[in-house]
Amino acid sequence: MKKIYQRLAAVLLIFSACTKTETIPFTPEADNQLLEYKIVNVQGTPIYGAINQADSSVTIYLPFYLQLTILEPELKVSDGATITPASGTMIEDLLDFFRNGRTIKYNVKGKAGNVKGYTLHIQVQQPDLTVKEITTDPANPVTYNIDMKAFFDSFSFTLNGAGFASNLDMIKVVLVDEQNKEYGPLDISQFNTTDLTTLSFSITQYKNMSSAILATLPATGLYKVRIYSYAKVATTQNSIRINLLNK
Amino acid sequence: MISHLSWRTVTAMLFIACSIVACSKNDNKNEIIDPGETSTTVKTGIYKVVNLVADTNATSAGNAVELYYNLEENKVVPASLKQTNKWDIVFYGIYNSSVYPNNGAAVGSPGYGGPGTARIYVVTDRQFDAQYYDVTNFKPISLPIPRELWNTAFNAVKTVPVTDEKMVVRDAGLDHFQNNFDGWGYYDFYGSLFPGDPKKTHVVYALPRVIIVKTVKGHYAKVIIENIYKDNPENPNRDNKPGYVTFRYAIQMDGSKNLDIQ
Amino acid sequence: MIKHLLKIAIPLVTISLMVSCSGKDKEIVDPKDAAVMIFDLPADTAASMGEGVDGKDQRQFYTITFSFKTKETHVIRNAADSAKYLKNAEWDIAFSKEYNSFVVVNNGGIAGTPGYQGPGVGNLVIVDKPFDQVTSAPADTEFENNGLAGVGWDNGNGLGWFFYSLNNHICVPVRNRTYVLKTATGNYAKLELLNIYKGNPPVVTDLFWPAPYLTFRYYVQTDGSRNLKNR
Repeated sequence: MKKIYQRLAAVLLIFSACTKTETIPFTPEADNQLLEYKIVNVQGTPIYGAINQADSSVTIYLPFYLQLTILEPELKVSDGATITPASGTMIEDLLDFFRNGRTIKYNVKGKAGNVKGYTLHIQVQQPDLTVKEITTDPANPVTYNIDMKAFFDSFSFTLNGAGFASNLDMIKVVLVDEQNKEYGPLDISQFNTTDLTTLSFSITQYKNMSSAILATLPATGLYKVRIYSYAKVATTQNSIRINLLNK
Repeated sequence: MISHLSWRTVTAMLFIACSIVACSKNDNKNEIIDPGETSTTVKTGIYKVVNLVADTNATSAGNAVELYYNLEENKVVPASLKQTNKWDIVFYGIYNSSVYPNNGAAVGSPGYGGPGTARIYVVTDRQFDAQYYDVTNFKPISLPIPRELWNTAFNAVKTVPVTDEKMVVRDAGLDHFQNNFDGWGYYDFYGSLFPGDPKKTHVVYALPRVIIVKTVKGHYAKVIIENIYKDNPENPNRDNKPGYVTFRYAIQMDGSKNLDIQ
Repeated sequence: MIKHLLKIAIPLVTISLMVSCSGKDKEIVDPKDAAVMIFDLPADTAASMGEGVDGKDQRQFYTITFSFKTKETHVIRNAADSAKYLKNAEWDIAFSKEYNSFVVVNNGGIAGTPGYQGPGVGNLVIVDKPFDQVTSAPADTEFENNGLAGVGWDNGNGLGWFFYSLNNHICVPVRNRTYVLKTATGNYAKLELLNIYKGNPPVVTDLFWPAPYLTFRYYVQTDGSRNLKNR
């Protein structure tokens, strides 16, 4: 009998001795967390963002076919916390976001007053965007001439490739000169809601109906063709030459 | 002898157990932050919109600037919100003549890709039409069409005449123009109603046709377009400025299909 | 959209005045393809939208009817032509309205169309697939619910055969879209509409390109079945 008590005492002693030296710190649950982020301006089920508390980020995976240009997020945060921008604040002009970049950040302020910031990342699940060269031999660029003094003149060319968006509002095509300066956008002269591999352009010189880009181009120049299609961009390696005659 | 390691484990587990117990006392409610309702919805009633500026640069040469309208709040909504639930109908295309419902599943709709589920339906009553319209060849018999007919047509629609499935997601547009659909306006392409008068070509004449709308929030409304020219001229010609939409609508906010609204 | 065309004086181009029998159209025969290809069928090339167009009258375009079986065309200029050529089941499609660009079926029940009050039972549904890949006609419910009297300008709502590019005023055919039809007598057929410009150019940039010259391909199943395999 005595032995049991002895043993018990020993265990208790050891226990207390251990608790003195072995402490695992207690981390209270944070009061300033973003708990749910979903995009609601879609048909059916909202798109839920993946929240990573460790690196303070939210990632939204957007399907390409929706071709969204604006996002309407609904947010949930820790009990008692506030968030800015508030839930429901639109994220506008996604095309600009994709092309020029922008930091979108949310600050969650907990009851205790501490602020945790989250950065939004948007990944678009979009097929590859590729373009075929117009000029196949860089030493001999395909050349287009347009007579600025003629009664009417025009030239046209076609850009072939893959992964072009079906809605032309998602597409912007520009000419890029050797200094990487962009001219345009070019008017896309063919609606290709069914053919996603071809875009046609025509540049026209005719009284007050001339293509806007003509006023900005120099008399001669070498240009790569760059296409922005929703969240992606592709540029030809080789250039075409455009000559404005009698400019 | 109980190992050092085991004691550490036991202690750790004890502390964790304590903290779990402590946490479960809180309800763990997650608060949804409400952005705050700053918008106001209208009551059941009739609303008239006059000279709403769509696109004052509108010519038949190009698509006019789109005009998105929220019928439940009786206000214009910026085009940047086209893929949201903030609008019900849009005046779109040449002369703003395509009236699309906000439906995110509809090909060609400006709302495509967004959450909208609105639908529309053009009401046609051929007997009524015969007063002002050649029902075989689909053109007005004479112009101007008496203004009283707009009131008669609007008031005659006392209920939503079709089920939701019969309402469409495509646009209501120019009557029988390059299609065989009844529209809300007649586009006199050649000016054939006024031969010899070049000022009468390419004019859009509104017809007294009612468009039923099921809003994105599921309420029913009837809309009638009176004019797309500035100051609502009775007999427009090419000197009049297009891009100014005048329309009237009645909306039922009680969720029913009753459109007998005074 | 046509306002700018009105301001443009279209220079003289070779125009053949329409005669009321089959126009000069070229038929292209591909031995591996059972479909019929019609190349450059001249429609009402003597009409114009605007004034001051050399060699053309400013007036409405005369409807042109076309028979799938015989490839005959008829121009409908006046009431006498209407009485003679319209109320029968001998033509299957007609090119009507502005620039003969509205392609309409022969159906006696559709008011406002050339076949109205005649015996035709034509119908049309749109299938957004390439012509060769449309191998059978959809069910009758599809024709009932989504049948169209005809197709013309697609303003973006998916219900036409060409886009009218408002940047440069050119008709651009919608690619990879097939029109599944019922002919005037109720046989199933399919049609693709390829061009309204002379010579069937792949891209038109010239505002003065001669038009309307219709290029199209069609296949008719004469055994009464829904089978539309042309290759």
